[in-house]
Amino acid sequence: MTSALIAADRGVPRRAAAWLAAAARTACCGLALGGPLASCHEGPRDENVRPNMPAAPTGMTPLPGASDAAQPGAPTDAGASPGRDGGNGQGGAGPQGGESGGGVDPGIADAGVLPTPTFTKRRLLEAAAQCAVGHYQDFEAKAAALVTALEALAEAPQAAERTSARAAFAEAMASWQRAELFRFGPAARAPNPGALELRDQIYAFPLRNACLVDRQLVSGLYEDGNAFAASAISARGLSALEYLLFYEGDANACAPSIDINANGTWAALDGEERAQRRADYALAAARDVLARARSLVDAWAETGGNFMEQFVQAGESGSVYPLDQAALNALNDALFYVENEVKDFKLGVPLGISVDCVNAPSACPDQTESRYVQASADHLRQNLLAARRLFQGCGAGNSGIGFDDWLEAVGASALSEDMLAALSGAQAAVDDLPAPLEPLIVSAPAEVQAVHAAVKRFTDLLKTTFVSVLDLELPQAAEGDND
Amino acid sequence: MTELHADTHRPSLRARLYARLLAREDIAWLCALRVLFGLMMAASMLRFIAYGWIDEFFVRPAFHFKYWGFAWVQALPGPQMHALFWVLAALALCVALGLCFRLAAAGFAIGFTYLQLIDVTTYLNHYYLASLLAFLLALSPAHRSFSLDAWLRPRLRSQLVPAAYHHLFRFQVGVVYTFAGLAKAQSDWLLHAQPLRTWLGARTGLPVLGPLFAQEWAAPLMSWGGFLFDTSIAWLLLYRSTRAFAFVLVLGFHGMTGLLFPIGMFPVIMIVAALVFFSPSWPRVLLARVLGRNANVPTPPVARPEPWPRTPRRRAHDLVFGAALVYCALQLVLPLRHLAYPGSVLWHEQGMRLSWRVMVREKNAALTFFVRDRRSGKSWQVAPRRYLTRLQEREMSGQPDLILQLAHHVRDEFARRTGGPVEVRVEALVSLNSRSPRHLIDPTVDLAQVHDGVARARWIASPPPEPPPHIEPI
Repeated sequence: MTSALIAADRGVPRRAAAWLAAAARTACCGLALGGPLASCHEGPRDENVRPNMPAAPTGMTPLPGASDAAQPGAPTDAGASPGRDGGNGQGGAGPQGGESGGGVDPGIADAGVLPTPTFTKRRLLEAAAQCAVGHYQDFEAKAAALVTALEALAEAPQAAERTSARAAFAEAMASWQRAELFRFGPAARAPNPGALELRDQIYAFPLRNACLVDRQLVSGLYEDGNAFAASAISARGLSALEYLLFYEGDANACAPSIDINANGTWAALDGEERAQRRADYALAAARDVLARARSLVDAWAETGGNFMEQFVQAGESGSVYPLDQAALNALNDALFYVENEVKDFKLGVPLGISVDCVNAPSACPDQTESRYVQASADHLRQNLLAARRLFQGCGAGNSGIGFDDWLEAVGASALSEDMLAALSGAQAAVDDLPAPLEPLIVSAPAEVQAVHAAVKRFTDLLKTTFVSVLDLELPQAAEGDND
Repeated sequence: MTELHADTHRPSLRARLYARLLAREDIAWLCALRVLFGLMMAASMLRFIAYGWIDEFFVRPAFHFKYWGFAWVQALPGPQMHALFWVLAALALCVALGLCFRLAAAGFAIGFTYLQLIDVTTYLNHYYLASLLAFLLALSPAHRSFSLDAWLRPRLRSQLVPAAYHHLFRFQVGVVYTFAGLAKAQSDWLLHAQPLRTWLGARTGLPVLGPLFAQEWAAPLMSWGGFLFDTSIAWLLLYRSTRAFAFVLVLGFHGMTGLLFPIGMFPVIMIVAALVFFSPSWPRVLLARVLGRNANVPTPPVARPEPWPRTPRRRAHDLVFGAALVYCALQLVLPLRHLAYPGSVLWHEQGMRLSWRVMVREKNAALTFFVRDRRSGKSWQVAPRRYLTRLQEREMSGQPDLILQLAHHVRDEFARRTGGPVEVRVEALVSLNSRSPRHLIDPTVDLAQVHDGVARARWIASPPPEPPPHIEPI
């Protein structure tokens, strides 16, 4: 059934090109933390952007992804240059090469270079926390814009509104692909300190269930806010939004034996009704995402959960982290996103390298992250961009304190350079993809395997010498007396 | 005639040895050990239950690593495994109370050892020690005083016990300390202060002690301190004149390591174990001081070398002492067996387990299996996490024999799936004590064809030649 769905969706790339252009038009500004977020959006001020959004801490890093829509991934390049998947043609930077793949980032450039004072662990925690909050705030703004666009679509589910909604989705998704790398504290899963599991509530990939979305489309569950908020995460969040906004086929994703097909309730919906319901469902999902994004920002804000204090003051009384090293381990866990999600889930499984792909060693194209928008490569690009920010620094040109400063401070400069070079190599490999990742998985898997290999060079160092030199714990390490 | 005279009037060496070993002494030390050990192990079982470790270590893993020769040991289903821990906790309490002691101690020793045999990745030196102590206790008359058994069955009561038990326990604990010390007599530990330097560097945020760990001299000082402590503490505890000072060192050392590192029950077990070096009546003396009374120390019979009886009892003694001798020899040989394998035991790990190499290496690895169908030529990359929990993956990644076990499991699964033979190779990049990563296993070797055993493993790659890097504490 999945393959049938893909077959029915062949028109997506063409449709995507239209909204890509729209996205480029709406990509207007870079953001600085605490800056005029709403000014980035044309038209009336977005009522979903709260005027009392928590201010960024002093010295806050410029906002990540200020040029999202113009960033790789942004649909601009994909639409204008079929030969590339959103790449900006810059290729990889050297070890200190800055934000490869991100293109010129006005927000960052305007904000200037962050200082790099003498390294202390506390300063690394502060820098990472500020970087994370900046990304969360950026996503909150994008999610609010998405809600606004979807309200218009739900009001009048026409082509123009759909195009705007898709552009807003692209911006929000690109923002989240950067933000979700900062998966510690409230974004993390239990039993991590401070965990509220908000990442999974916003984007549960690789969990996603298009059939359940279709079933809830028929049942109207999305109309009941409380029930919807408590429903399965695989049919909410950004994955569901992508499916609802970019799949317009008549078929559903369920097997014939599933109730909506067996009892004819799906077939009873005509095209217009389905379009309306998809818009309504998408709006409900976007509102749910926005609520979670606000919870995430609030959890860090001084006026909210004030997790910032807990995190930065790790090791002091009252913090959920008994030692500063525990908070640093949480940052390390965040870097392991590149190993687990990027290398294995987003590349290894679709490539068929991983036996988790049911067709392995042949490819599993339906396991690509962005099946309907075909923006998987851009998602990788954003992930790696955020990884570099966490590793090297969140300021313009990756200035500011990062893990590289820690490595240098302990005398492991060579390792720092090796890791930065490996990261640049991975970013360059993504940028060098000659086409969107989804068709390449099948037509030229070697191209994607090169990306996988490049990412692995970084994660091999991450898993071995990096954690050894800094004595960082691998996720979920346990006690022992023999090592 | 002279020999005959000597033989008649002067006991033989064996007779004198037996007389010394069979000499009676106060049983109080053994009873105290029984009580403390029972309580400690009951607490340990409850920790497993409370922390969810039963599921994490024994129930959730779909694959378990086996000890060589013990592949037949299987984990129980979840509910039975949980029940086993409650039973073991109850048995440990029975040991402490001296209730049905023989049965409880033997049951606990067997049950606790069974737990360790389920999965090699749960191996900890102090669990191994706990198993040994449990078996030794089960064979001792530790229930003949201060126990419910003795209260319920007066004929069991005894205030004295052969000194042989005391010597055996002291030997066992002395072996642990001494070999833990000898394991530190290598360049990484003594010359480069690794891995302690890295570990301390991660603990500079601790109050009071943290800033000290940021000093350049801290790691070398503590490395040498640990080495000297381990190699000498058993001897310092053995002699009455240094015993009190040595026990203060024991408290300080294990208190410090317990504070600094996530080593669970290890410090408590070692502190309790170190009590065996005290005089036999120490519990009575301590209790009397606490209560402000005179200690009621039982008087042993006058020690006299007894003529060695030529009776069935003598043959029984020969058998028991022979078995004890074999046990002691094994305890000396096992930690030294690594000498039979060239290269660094920290790298190849042949002879690593059961040898008290406590906290002497830090290994982190990136590991991927490469499987190739020999008929079709199709290939796959297999990440260990497909089969393992995080804990299992971490422990396995630095231990070649476990990597081989998983390779065989991967081979069998893919052979079933493809219906034909497969090759399994591994890229195991390992960082030892913060060195640059290096292949632990020869990546060209088809592990599907390699058999595990005690012979030198030539499929293990050579260790890194360079010393560990110098890490500045921050």
